Amino acid sequence: MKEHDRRVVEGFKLPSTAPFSQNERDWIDMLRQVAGDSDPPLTMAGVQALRAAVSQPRGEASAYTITDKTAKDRC
Amino acid sequence: MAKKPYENTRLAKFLDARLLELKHKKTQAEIAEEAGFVHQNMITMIKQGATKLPIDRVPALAKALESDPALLLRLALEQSEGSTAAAAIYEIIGQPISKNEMAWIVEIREASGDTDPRLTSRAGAAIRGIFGK
Repeated sequence: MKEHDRRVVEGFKLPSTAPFSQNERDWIDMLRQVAGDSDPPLTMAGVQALRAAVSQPRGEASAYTITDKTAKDRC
Repeated sequence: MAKKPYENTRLAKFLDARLLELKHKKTQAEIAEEAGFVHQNMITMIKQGATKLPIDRVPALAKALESDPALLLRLALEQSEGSTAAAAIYEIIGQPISKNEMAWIVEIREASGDTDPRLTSRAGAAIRGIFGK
């Protein structure tokens, strides 16, 4: 395929392919420890647990930054 | 009694479990054939720990077992080289990550907005809760 034939489609993106960080290794090690060698697929329960643990509101700079406004919203 | 040097390896236990799970779908002989083993009893020998899984059979056996090749490769390296040597290999070329594990990482990146979140004790507890641990 020629370079100019390649069309970019808005709204779709590839998953991040950045190299693993030490923190991500810790997550994988923990997952292997609790799941044994079952190589568990990501389930809805897993997604919900991860989002509750690491999610941040859109536009926030850090997962651990909670502004007064968002803190109030959560209360 | 015949020696079974690989009896207690994680690979032998994993194979035993997968064969049980696939029992209703295919026989050990079919799995052996799919994995390219000339002798059908190789699966039994690996399962019992009488012999180790040759590394070159990992991709085909993973396919036959409907398992992730990255997981089977880790187990095979640990079985044939030992965990210390396997760790040295991973240090140089990196550790094989399964597609399922990659899905967990992608979700962590998505949910955190790529902020590389630490594994906190609260997060660990939430994940353990999913697996009833």
